This record gives sequence, structure tokens and C-alpha cells, in this order.
Amino acid sequence: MFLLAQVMATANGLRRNKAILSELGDEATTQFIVSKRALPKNGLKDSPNVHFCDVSLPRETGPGPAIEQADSEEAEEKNVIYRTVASIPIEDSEMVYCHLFQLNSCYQAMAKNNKMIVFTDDMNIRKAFYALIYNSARTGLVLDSRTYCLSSVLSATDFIMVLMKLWKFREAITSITGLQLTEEDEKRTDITEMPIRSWKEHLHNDGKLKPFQTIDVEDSLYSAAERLSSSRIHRLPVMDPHCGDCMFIITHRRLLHFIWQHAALLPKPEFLRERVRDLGVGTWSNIKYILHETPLIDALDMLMNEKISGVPVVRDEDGLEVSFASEHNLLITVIFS
Amino acid sequence: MGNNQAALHKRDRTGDGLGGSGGVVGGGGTRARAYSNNPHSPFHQSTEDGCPVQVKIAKSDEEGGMYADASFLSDTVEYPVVFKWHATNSVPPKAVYICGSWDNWKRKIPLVKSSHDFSTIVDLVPGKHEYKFLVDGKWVVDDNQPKTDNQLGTENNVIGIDEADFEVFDALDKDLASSQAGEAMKSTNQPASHDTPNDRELEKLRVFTQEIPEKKDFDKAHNPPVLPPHLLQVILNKDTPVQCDPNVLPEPNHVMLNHLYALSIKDGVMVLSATHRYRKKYVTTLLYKPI
Repeated sequence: MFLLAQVMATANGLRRNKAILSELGDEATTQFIVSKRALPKNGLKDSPNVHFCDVSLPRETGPGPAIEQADSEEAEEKNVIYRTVASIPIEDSEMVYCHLFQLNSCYQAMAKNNKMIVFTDDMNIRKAFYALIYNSARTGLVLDSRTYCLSSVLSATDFIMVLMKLWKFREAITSITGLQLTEEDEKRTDITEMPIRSWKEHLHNDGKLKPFQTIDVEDSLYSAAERLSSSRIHRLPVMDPHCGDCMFIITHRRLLHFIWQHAALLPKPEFLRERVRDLGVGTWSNIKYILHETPLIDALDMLMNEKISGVPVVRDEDGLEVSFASEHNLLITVIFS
Repeated sequence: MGNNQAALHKRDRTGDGLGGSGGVVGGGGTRARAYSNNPHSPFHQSTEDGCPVQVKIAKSDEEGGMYADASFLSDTVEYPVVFKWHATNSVPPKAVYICGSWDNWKRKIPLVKSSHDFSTIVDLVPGKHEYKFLVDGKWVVDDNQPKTDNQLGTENNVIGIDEADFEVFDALDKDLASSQAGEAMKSTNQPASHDTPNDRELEKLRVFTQEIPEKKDFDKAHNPPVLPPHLLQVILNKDTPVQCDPNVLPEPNHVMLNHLYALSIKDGVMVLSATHRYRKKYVTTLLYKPI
């Protein structure tokens, strides 16, 4: 009756262990077995199916056979440590990735070595964008230059907003005065020279500034995914509650990467075999698109107005999609041209 | 014991030159304790290098004469005694000799110069000895040492050698070698030390002050120390493949952690970076700051 358990908490030295199963599982279901210590603080549901028990684990973290029998205690006494684990049966294979996210904290999704780019808010925007491009990064954190506390995030969206602002402002001036801007005027109206702080204040006054959101490193990935989709944001800085430092930034990509890392161990949910169309993933009606001939400024305008992060590029004559333009593509295009 | 070893090498060299019959007392990498049973320890002055060197030669006709233990000896046991001359003037004297009542003031024993001090070790039998220094041709006494009047109407320094002192040192030796010697020198403040003073022990006798040392003391160090080669592997300089997440860096070597890396200031922007461990993972932070 004992089935193989899927041991998820590899980072905590838990491995497949038959002894665990003899105590835990009496149903032919696949279960997650995670160390209680590694559980995210808000991830575990109060479900009657969740069992806690103490199991013996080999002390060594290196490769070795798992302990065969739970009752050979006295022989193994010295070589095992006891750890409380939780076993969560997966009743519904559709929910497997959901459970995976619920049972893992944000820390688990962190890469081995994360690069964080931090700007102080007295840095001018132009230089900050150059720095982002140079590091091929899409996001930088912004520090208050006086208190050195994190205050916001600078991303490609900011860049496009700056660009649009600049363009429209100058266009308005030329249309009112009917004159071409002189070089001096251009310099005067160049908002890319303003520090990040002023830019954020400007956004705040326009009511366009989204509140700065962070997540606790001990929170579950599920709550992180929830925050990302409910606030319609792409980047969520993960903070350590004790030292207040930012560990990394959770992105959609990071979450997908985490699923991909563990997918081999997990049962395949049914929906992976279905067609994308049938699942209703993505946008299937009223799709925004740009043509080959569409000026860049209109494309940027569309991204901002529709609050989308990318737009397909369609060939005029037959409507075939030939390319895709994302915020980051456009940022690179603009900076290097 | 660095100084002692160096001194031994010098003796070695001269000893070889004098022929194979003799051995050098106090070798063997142990403490430079010289127990010589020769009542007339000969001192030779090496003239080749102008450096006065003290050599003791054990007699070859005795079994184990080289390392003869004190218990083997019936009549007189000699103990090594350090004599030191502190140069008080800013210009140190050229040559310092010592003469004493131990050989009826016959020989002038040269003192070896080491930075500001002159010192030598003379093997003496227990008892009272009078001695005097000959500094650049002038007979002088050390005012910091016990003095006594002589028949000529002047003064001599005087030293008392007590066997018991050396037994104490033996016990101390067994406990902890070098520091104890330094302490002994400090507490007794007399030349009856059994050990050649080395810089490390002399350091302990100095006092710490609030005076700022003069700049010329550091003139030798023109450049900062060389960077250890393992720190030159800067992970931020490595190219990451295009398909990788741009925010992910290779795993750092543990020696790189908690070091500050800086990019040369360009366009008024300073870039600093440091890698820290966070549990089992790492965070590399790049700080961009305008200056």
C-alpha cells in the first residue's frame, strides 16, 4: 500500500525514505513530505489531511542508503536525527503545482547567487537606465539616499513612461508655439536628467505611482504568486524580516523556473496535456497589435495605455505575426539607437 | 626563538672554520642553553666579517660533552649570563667590550650589536663577579646595575650568580618557553637571564603610548600589500550566457564573500559591490551612487 512519496524539501536534506512512508501513508496517494522547519509561515492550510510526525533521517547529507526499518533505533541512534515532518496528500493532481507553491517559502525559489542592482534616489534617471542595460537587468531597487531604506523599484515601465512624458511635453510645446525646439529648450525640458526621487514624486502627483510592495522571505510562493497577479506587477522584492535586506526579486520567470526544477519529481497534472486555447490562458479576443510600419512612439503609447508589457508585431498584408515587442526590447532599442 | 637560531647559525659557521673536533653548544633546535663544563670557555673573535662571534667548544675527550647535563659535573658548573649595554646616546657606540673578575680582568669580551643594544653571553660559575664595560675605549659602568667600589677608587658593576635562579628558570621553561623568559626579565630586571633577548621579548618590556609614530618609520612601505590572487576572480566580470537569467550569477568562492569590489568612477557614478551569504545562498549587491 505504500507509495513513493515525493520529497520536496531537498534543500533541507530530506530524501526518499521508506521509513517515513510506513508511518505516514496508508492511502495510495502521492504525498508531499516536507520538514516542518522549512514550511513557509503562511503556506500550510489547516487541512485535516495534513499529518505531522517525527521521522528519523540519516545524519549525513551525503549519498547513502535510507534507513530501512524504523524499529532499528538503538543501532542507528547515533546516526539519525529526528525531525518533524508534515505529509500532505495530493488528492487532486490538478492542484499539484498549487501545493508546491504553498509548501515552499520564497527562499526556496532564490537562485544560488542573486545579483541585486541598487540605486540611490539622487541618481539621475538616464544613468540609472544605462546601468540597467549594462547589467542586462530589467529591475533595480531604489534606496532613499538619506536613510538608505528601500523606497521603490525602477523598471523598464518607468523608462517608457519617462520617454512618453518627454515626447509629449515637447510635442505640446512645438504645437503651441509652432517653432522647432532649440537646443537650449531641449536641455531645459530634458526630464531624464532629474533624479529618481523627483521622478517618483512626479508619478505620485499624477496618481500613477503604485505602492511599493515587498514580501517576506518566509512567506510561501503561493502568496507571492497571488500578490503578483492581484496587483498586476511583475516584480516583487523579497525581504528578510530580521535584517530588512532585500534578498532577490520574485518574477514570473523565477516562479516558472521553480516549477520546472521540480516538475520531474511531481505527477503531471491533466491540464498540461490540454490545448492552451481550451484552458483560456492568455488573451484571445480584442488583441492589441502593431504593424511593421507602426512608429515606435505609438507602440510605446499602446503599451502604456493598455497596461500591457508586450505587443505582437504583425505583417500588414496577411496578418501573420512575425515578431513580438516587449518593454525590455523597446528599452534596448531606444537606448542604443 | 628566532634570534637564538640566527645566533646559532653564526656560531655554526665559525665553528666549522675552526675544525671538526669541536661542537657547538646549545644546538639541536632546542633552547640555546649552554652548559659547558669547560672552566675556560674560549672566546674567539672572528676577524673575517668584523663581527665578534662567541664560540664555545666542548672537549672531545668527554663522552657527551656537548650536551653534558649539569648532574654529571662534580666541580664547577657554569651558567650562561647575558650582559647587555644599552646605548643611551642617539649615536650608538662603535664597539663595546666587557671585562670581569671571572678571569682576573684578562680578556676583553666583545658585545654583539643588535639595533640599539649590545649583548653577549658569558658562562659564569655561581658567586659574585665584578665587571666593567669598555665603550669606544672608555671604561664605564652601567648605572642601572648594582655597583661596588674597587681598589682603584672607581666603580665596578657587580653581579651575583645563584644556582637557585637557574632552577627556577628550568621550571619556567617547562611551563611556557618564551613568554616566561620575557616575564622573568621584566621582574628581575637584571642581566642574569638565561636566554638571549630577542625582539619579541623586548617588545613585551616596552610600554604602549599614545604618541603617534613618526612618518619615517613607515617609509619602507611605499605600496599597499599585494592583492591575493584568488580575489582577482571577480564573478561580476564573467560573461553570463544569454539564455541565463541576468539576475543570476555563478556561485561565489567563499574567499570572495564580504569583500568590497568597486568600479572606477565613470560619469560621476560610483559602483560598489559585495557578496554576502544568506543561509545557504548568496546575494550580490551592486550599489550605484552619484558622487
